[in-house]
Amino acid sequence: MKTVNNKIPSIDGMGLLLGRPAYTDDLAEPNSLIVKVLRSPHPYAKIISIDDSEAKKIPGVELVLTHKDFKRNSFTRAGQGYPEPSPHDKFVLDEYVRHVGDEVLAVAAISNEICEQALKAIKVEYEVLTPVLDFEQAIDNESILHPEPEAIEMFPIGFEPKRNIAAAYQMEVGNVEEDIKKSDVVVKESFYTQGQNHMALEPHTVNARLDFQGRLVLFTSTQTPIHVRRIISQTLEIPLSKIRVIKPRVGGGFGGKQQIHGEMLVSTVTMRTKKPSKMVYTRKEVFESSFQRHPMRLDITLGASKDGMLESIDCYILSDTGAYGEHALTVFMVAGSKVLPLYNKVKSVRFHGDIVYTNHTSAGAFRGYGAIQGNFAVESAIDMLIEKLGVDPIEFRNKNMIKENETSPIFAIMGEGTEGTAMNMDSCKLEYCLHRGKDLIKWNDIYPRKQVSESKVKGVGMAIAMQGSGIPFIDMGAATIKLNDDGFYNLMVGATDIGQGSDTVLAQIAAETLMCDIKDVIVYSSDSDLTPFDTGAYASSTTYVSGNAVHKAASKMKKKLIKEAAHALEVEKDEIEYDGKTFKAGNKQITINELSNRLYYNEDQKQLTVN
Amino acid sequence: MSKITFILNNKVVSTTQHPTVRLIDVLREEFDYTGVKEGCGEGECGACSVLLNDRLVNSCLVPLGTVHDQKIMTIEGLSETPQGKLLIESYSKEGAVQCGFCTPGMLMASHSLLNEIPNPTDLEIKIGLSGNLCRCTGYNMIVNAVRRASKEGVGLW
Repeated sequence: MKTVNNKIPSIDGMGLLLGRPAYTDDLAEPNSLIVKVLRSPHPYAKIISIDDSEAKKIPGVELVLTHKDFKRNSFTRAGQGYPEPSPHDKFVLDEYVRHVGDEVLAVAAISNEICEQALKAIKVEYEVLTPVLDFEQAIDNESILHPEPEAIEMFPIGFEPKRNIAAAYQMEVGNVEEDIKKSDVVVKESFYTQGQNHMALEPHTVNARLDFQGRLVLFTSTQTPIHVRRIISQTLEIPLSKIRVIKPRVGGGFGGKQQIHGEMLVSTVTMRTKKPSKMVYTRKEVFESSFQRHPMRLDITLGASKDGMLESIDCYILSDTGAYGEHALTVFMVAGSKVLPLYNKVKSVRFHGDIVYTNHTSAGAFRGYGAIQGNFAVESAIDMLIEKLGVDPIEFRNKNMIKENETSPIFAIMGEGTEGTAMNMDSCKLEYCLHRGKDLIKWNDIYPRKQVSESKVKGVGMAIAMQGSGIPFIDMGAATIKLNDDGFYNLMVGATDIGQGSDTVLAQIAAETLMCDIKDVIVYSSDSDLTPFDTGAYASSTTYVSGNAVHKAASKMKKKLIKEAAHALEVEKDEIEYDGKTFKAGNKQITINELSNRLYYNEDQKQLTVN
Repeated sequence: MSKITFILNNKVVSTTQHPTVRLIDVLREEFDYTGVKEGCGEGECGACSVLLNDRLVNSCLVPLGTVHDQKIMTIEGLSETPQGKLLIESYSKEGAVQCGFCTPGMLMASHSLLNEIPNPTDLEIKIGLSGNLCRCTGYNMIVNAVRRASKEGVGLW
């Protein structure tokens, strides 16, 4: 391959190295109103009164927004496809605050300093409520986080807000309890995992303006521009056609920018004042008020026979979604669906759990998306079982794990919020990885441990893992390719480059297929007015899902080019040979530059566009 | 109103902003030097690194008043110098740019390090860049880029 598989500098790298304006805040209107949020000092409280009379007198304060300024439209910030598998349990602003850092009100003013002054001048009276701070005490707690009738599920996800349950799930293949009772060796263990912040270097940033026709134009640091547009439209009741969302360069996401952040507030400020506005989270706000990895307790029970066959797995998970249920069910599902199929020889497997509300910072998408928590617990328990059995960890896994051309019933049973998709492992290199890993860490020399000095030993351990790329029949990407005069292309993709380099990867795929230089592919991505639909940058799916869309579009373009070249040269299509620069048929030839100029200006005039 | 005058990327500039205003805000908002990034606002991440009289500083912690009559260089200035050009090329070749948000600050720190130690060991590179956080690369490519610049730029620093 000429372009794919080659190490090339990223196509956007040079502009970033030079520090040119590229990120959301670099592209804010110079006189944007600054939007700042007063955040709750309490984990759980009801707002009794807000006195903003002094703040409104400060020159330069344009607007104070409180919960009274918004209709009670519940939504989810999750940034997923529609209908979302996350409960609609959030309001732009609410009379309840549910975690330290939750939004109380927002101020828009002409400078940072005046915003700060205004926030200090506002008096808020709270009725402090008893918070739920221990997620193991959340279910049926006296304090209920979401008693409001507007909090709803979009389809059945086990949502029971009166019991502080954001979602719940249970599935079983075979009979786990019976099989475990009959097992020779049983391990029963609980594991806890902690919260974690994504820590993208660029804080959550958004700005808004109205264009000359009064349409709302948002620049936002997001992984999901198309979902952002839809959620704003539904929640603020602005017609979808009146909103344009542009994602410029993004300074890292890691899942933390799949969710909505300041978009609702700047949109509201700009719609009401008709002035541009912007909001940049402080680092403290990123920690307190964006999202974290779901902390979990995972109760694992394993049953095995004496001869080292794993017979049954039981996995119960209690997951802490914090104050709101973004990705509550789906992260939990992945903890099972992307871990349990690893051991497909079992007679029975059960996966069940509850995802509960607490007065903690809300949890959301985070690289690995639950698989990490599940993998840590299951593989730790497997090691404990191996120790009990007294067998070799690699041998045990080799005997019990999924292999090429095998499947697991879990694929069909468990999806993300809905049923899954049956899959056969047509390609699976787990066995290869097992042996390669063994060689690389010198397993045979070191396992279980090697004395390296009087006081130190060196040990080795191992675990297996799986990951998926995209969600079948949910994720979608699209690409449009347009031929320009002089024979270069525009590649328009909805795929969202958040610093992972997808613009470069997709340009490579297009250049490879079209047999052209990568410099002749001009990528433009993630602008809701101009680029085709894409679900966004998540589920580790862009190279596969959007990449295939680019490959398909580029293949169509090549066919069209050959058809036009054949027409121009007055030969049959299959007589044409193309090397990426020149179409040849016998002694006749035409270059891509000549052909594209001819189509634009001279003969058979047309715009070649494919998607 | 008092005027604060300083040399910014080799040009004499002046501003009437208050001496307690943060240097980063003046650089970004008044002089449009968007290469200076704000990642944390408290001197932890190094994304706002600039040179103050050839010394590496976090511009979010520098009050404007202290740069009166002093020399400031941002990535926009560094990228015009032979040292800056070589560093940028090295970063590009080594794949040291991912999301790019830390990159301008990282380049300033790399230049400052090579000014002090033209032939740094890997450990010295890591210590030299320890005030700058990157979340994407895992740092290896950045260390490789600085090593490459040091090798290819004999005599530049």
